[in-house]
Amino acid sequence: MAKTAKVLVVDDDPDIVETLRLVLESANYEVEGAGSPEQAFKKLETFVPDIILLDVMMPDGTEGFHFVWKLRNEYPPELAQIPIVILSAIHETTKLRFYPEQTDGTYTPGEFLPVQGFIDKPAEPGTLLKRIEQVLQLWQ
Amino acid sequence: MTEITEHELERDNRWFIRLRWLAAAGIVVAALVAGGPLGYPIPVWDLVALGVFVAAYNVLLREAEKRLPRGEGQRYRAAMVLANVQIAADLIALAVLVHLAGGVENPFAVYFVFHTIIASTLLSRTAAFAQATLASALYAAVVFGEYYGYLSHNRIFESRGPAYTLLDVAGHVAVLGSALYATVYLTSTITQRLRQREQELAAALAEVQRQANACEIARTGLQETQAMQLHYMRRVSHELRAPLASIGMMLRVMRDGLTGDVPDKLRQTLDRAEARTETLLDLVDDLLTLSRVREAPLQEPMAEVSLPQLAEVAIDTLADIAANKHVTVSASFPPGLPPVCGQRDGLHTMLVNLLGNGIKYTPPGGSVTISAELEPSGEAVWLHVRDTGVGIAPEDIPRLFDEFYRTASARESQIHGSGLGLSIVKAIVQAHGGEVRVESEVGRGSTFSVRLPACRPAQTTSEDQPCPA
Repeated sequence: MAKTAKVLVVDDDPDIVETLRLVLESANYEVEGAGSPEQAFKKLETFVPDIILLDVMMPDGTEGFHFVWKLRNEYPPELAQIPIVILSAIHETTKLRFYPEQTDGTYTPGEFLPVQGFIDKPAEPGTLLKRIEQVLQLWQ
Repeated sequence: MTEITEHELERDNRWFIRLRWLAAAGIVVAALVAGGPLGYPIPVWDLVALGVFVAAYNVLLREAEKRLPRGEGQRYRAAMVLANVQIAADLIALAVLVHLAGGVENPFAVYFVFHTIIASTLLSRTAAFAQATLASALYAAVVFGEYYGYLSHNRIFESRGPAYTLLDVAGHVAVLGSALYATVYLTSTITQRLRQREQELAAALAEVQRQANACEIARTGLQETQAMQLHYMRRVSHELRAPLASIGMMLRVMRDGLTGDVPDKLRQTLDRAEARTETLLDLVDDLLTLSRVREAPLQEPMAEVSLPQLAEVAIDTLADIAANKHVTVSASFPPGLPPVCGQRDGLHTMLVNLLGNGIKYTPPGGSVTISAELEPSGEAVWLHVRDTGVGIAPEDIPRLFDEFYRTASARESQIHGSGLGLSIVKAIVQAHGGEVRVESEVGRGSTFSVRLPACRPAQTTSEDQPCPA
């Protein structure tokens, strides 16, 4: 990658934001953090990331989902089309479904929620970086 | 009509024995007064003897009443016999009295009615009719016997002339009056008792109703408490999970050298810390799963679940773990196996737990096999997960499905686990109305078998027909 990619991390847990910052900065990403969807939208006024890392389990439980819908539907294309990777343990701990299950037992990511990937918490730093890189490559 | 209770029967027996003393005294006094000052031509001493006879058999009755046998049903039957005997004895005594004191002329015949009322209150319906028949027969024997001359007839009114005297009339009125008063006394006493019983019954019924309401309130309270406990458990687990996930991630960041160089000793320590965090996370996940599956019966509807598909997904989920451990996992199903009725996610969790256990406790080179068969009745499918692992000691089997229970060999082998996996399996199977069994041989392996309701073909054609819960 010629220029450093920019990442917006949205998570209500500041420890997660800081840890992700460490991981991402080690791979030369430019990182900004936001503790809530409101803060994230405010950040987006001045900072246009190449990818958003989003936690779903923010205080009200589903705020992350609302963030996705709002960004996709109410913002101009340059923001609405930013790829999002959901970083959460939610599909382990709740039975909210992200993927429709195919008859052959495989899954099709992203058909239910317009996001580009899911990473379970706690994530392996290596896995996380690989996944972000994949999404960015696909998107550019 | 229900029969009189043993308690009432005995009480009435005693009551009539007490009344009979009065009757015996009454006969003696009436004979002396009528034959003496009133000058009726009656056999006074025969009547006095009758009074003494009544008193004498009353002594016998009282003694018999005191000596009723103790045994349950035996005592009741004996008390019933006593009641029949005493009424019959009274009827005979009354017939003798009527015969001695004028036969058909004697107004005391109305006391046959009185005795019949007593019989009706005490005895079974059949016995009461029998006593009424006895009374009628005795009276008929006396009056017809006297009429046809088989018995002597003591004239007490006609002997003194063709017309009744004022005394005769008054005597009739007095006898009828006494019979009426005795009847009122008897029936009102019995009625009062009945009303009292009715009130007691109504009170008892109200009490039962009140207790039933209290039970219902307690039951609702218990359900609410249970729901709150589950909610609380989920909440706590979530709250625990978030910081644990944070810690886990930070440890990995450190271990991977993102915060600086990692000397060997630090790396080892970080690895240990990370492993413990992982264990703790597994425990929290299991707690969450357990609380979820215990709520599940209320939430998710049942659907058709294909077991081969379920097995494929489960094997896929655990493929890496099995490969790392060099344990072969396979599944084979008979053709035409019907789908089972269940909650897909729950069944997936169940199978992943059983399969995971199989892999965990099977040494490298071993295998875990999933199979199934339809029960001959066609109502249920048995799903088996067979491993060639360490096996379970017979003494561990009864407690195997208890929460947090881990077998001695599991603890010794230091394979980490929450001790909740099989509790989760059991909760899921129970939510499906199924059962889970285990067969095992130490050193040879274990087979876990789960019985799940089969979906019948009729149910597969219509979406409106939900599977039975």
